[in-house]
Amino acid sequence: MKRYKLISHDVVHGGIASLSFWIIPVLTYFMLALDMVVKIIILKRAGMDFQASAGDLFFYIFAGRAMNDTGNGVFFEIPVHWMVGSIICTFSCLNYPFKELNGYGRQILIRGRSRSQWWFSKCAWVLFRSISFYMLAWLTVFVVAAIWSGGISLNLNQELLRELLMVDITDIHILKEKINIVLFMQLLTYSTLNLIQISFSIFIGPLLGFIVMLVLYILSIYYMHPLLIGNYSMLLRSNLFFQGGLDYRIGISICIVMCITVVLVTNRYFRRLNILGGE
Amino acid sequence: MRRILRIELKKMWNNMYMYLTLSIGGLIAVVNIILQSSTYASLRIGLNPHMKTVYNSWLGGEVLTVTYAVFCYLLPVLAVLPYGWSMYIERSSGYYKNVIIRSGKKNYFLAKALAAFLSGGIAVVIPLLINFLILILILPSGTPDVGYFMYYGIEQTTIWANIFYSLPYLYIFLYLVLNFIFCGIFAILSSAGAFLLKTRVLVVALPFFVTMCLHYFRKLLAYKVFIEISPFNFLHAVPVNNPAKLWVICAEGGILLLFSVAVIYLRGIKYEAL
Repeated sequence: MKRYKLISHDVVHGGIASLSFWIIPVLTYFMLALDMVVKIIILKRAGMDFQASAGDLFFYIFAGRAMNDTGNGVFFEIPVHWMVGSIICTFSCLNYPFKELNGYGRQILIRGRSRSQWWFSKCAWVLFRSISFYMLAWLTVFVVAAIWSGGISLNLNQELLRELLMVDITDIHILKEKINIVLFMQLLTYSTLNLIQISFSIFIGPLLGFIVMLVLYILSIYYMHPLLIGNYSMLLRSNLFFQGGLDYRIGISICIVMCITVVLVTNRYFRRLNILGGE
Repeated sequence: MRRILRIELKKMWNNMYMYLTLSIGGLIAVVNIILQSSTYASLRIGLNPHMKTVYNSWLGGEVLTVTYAVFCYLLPVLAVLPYGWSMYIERSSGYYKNVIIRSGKKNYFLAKALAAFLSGGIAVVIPLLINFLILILILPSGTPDVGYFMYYGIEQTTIWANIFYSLPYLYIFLYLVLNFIFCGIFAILSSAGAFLLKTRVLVVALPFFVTMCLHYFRKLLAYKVFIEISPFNFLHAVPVNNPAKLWVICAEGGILLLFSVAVIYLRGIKYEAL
């Protein structure tokens, strides 16, 4: 079986033909964006009139937690919007490859005559899923901003973000100027995280793979370390917005190296894996 | 009933996932002990005896270290991991049909739910208990003084605050019981999820997502409601943000338990394939 056939099968059956593929990201980010809309209404009633642009909504959802405030006597609390979005993105990539190891999916694996091709096709599917999830999230945020909020502009409202996130952004125009880098960084980080999860799931099973990812996310919130790549998806940890934040160029290098390593190491392991005893 | 319950309890206790969960919980508890005792050793000279005690340093009572972060947010998963998934496995493999023929539907599902409840409670409470008992040996454990409430974080609005400043061990015991019950409910919720969901991972992750939803709604109402509704926070023996209310905890636990029991009853005990 040609490689493109495997990939197109995955894209169709594990992606666009499934209702959850469309609904989960839209519903998740609709709820997350709605949170900011509700908060703006509450602030309006308290006498503070704010309008949130698509940039504000995006920044609010992907802000994460500010650096240097954990472990220094400040209570630890997860940035719930970032965490919910990230975990649902990761979780939505978990099941399909394992479903494909059972039932008729196993027949496809046998017909393909190459375990490596099957694995690379699943990696391509993970990338496709991550990118489409993120794009749908963006689209939802834009639609919410266009309907309920202050339009689809990428301008950031410093006062509003300070009120909601309790942070001061050093350069307020940066999101508009560096939107390509921000988008690419987010896409790359989520794709890498999803690949890591799928790899762990091949090694230790999807159940424990999911737990490993949860721990990775929590550690990423707690420690600002370049190797904890969850940090790169938090805008409040990026040097684009804050001095002393993590350098996005190092992040891109680390993510690419991790992606390649994970794909190759798991491919080597998967070629010898006993798939008959799988879940 | 007694026989099937004994079998279920044996299966619950003697499975790899129970040992794995206890190991994960135990590891977090031990790392917490190391972190707390090293902090205490570095601060000990001239330290106010109320500043660093077992009550504000044990895993269930502190909110600063990475061990707290990991344990607190993994709690719903740790509760389900030992045995919460077993209903799903036995249903999907068809094994349960053989047992039901011999023991009856009611007995089987009741024993299953009871074993899941106990597994959830045990998996979470044992690491907490070990952590607390070892830290008693290392850190000061005198009765807390209400004059130093800023070190303990237990204020007047906190539930059982009066117990904390008079009988701290009873306060810890009450929180362990609360954790046991809630984590047991998480495990039953996961068992109920076996009737509604298609994959094992989703069944295990169900309580986590429910808790995450509650945590999200807590943020959504951040400027309006100042009552703690997130189990991540109110299962902790010290208020993380808003003070917990006992009626909210009971209502949440009751709704989750009622929902789970209703699903098991309607889709398990009452369901007729013919």
